[in-house]
Amino acid sequence: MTDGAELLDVFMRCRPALARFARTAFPRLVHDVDDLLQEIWLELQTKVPASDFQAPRNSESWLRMLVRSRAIDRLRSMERRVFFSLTMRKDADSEMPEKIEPEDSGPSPATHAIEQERRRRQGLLLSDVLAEFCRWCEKRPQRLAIKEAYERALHGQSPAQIAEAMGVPPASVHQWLHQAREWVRQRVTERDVERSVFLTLYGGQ
Amino acid sequence: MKEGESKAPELKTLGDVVRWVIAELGAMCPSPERLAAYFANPDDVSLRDVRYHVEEARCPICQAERETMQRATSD
Repeated sequence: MTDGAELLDVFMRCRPALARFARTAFPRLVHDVDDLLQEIWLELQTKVPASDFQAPRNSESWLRMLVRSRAIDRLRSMERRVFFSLTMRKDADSEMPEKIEPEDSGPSPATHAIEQERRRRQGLLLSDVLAEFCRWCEKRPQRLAIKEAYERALHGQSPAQIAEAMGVPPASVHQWLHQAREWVRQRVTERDVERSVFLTLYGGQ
Repeated sequence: MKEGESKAPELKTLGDVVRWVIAELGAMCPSPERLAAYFANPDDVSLRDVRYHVEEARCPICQAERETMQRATSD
């Protein structure tokens, strides 16, 4: 186990590799990587001296996880800024229209902006819910098949394709997908009072 | 607006949204502990969902993590 001072040394030594990792994993942050690592460095300097700080067993792996976590935080923050810049107000979450129909002749710039706003809002909500879903599945070994089946479905595989790939009966896949969708639907419904995500996510099924 | 922000993806369909949250926000990524366990033991049957996520769905975040780890090991 390393102590805090050693962790800071490891960070400085691994900084080029951490920057490379951040640029590869998060291409949209390619211009923010130096800022990102500087923030993490400052965060470590605050955390490490604390009496309750537990130095990780594998410093390099732990630091990569920290970079990954902070990079995703930053991406989400960027998306929120884009979202707020589109809405021009910070209370837009509670005032979204329930459903927006695109025009046949092509959307106007305003319609396009509203649609992008709605999609970003869907994405942020869906991201939270799916991450929570994964942690829920990982709590019980028997739920891992549900996670795999659902991820395959999100990537466009049919239940028959999923059953074949996973080597299980189609009935099991149908049951898992039903469980997963119901779990996600409940969480989305709880969080999305206007049900804009729910309507789109399940409207076609 | 920074350059990176101008590259925000165009989200025309829910499919775009799903791809965005999975590939860029890591919404379906396994926990760090399970990902590390998979890299250490790729044949572990209890990690087959991670195998799908990394090898077949080709999560760019997790693949970058593996590349960085492999490079660190070989250095």
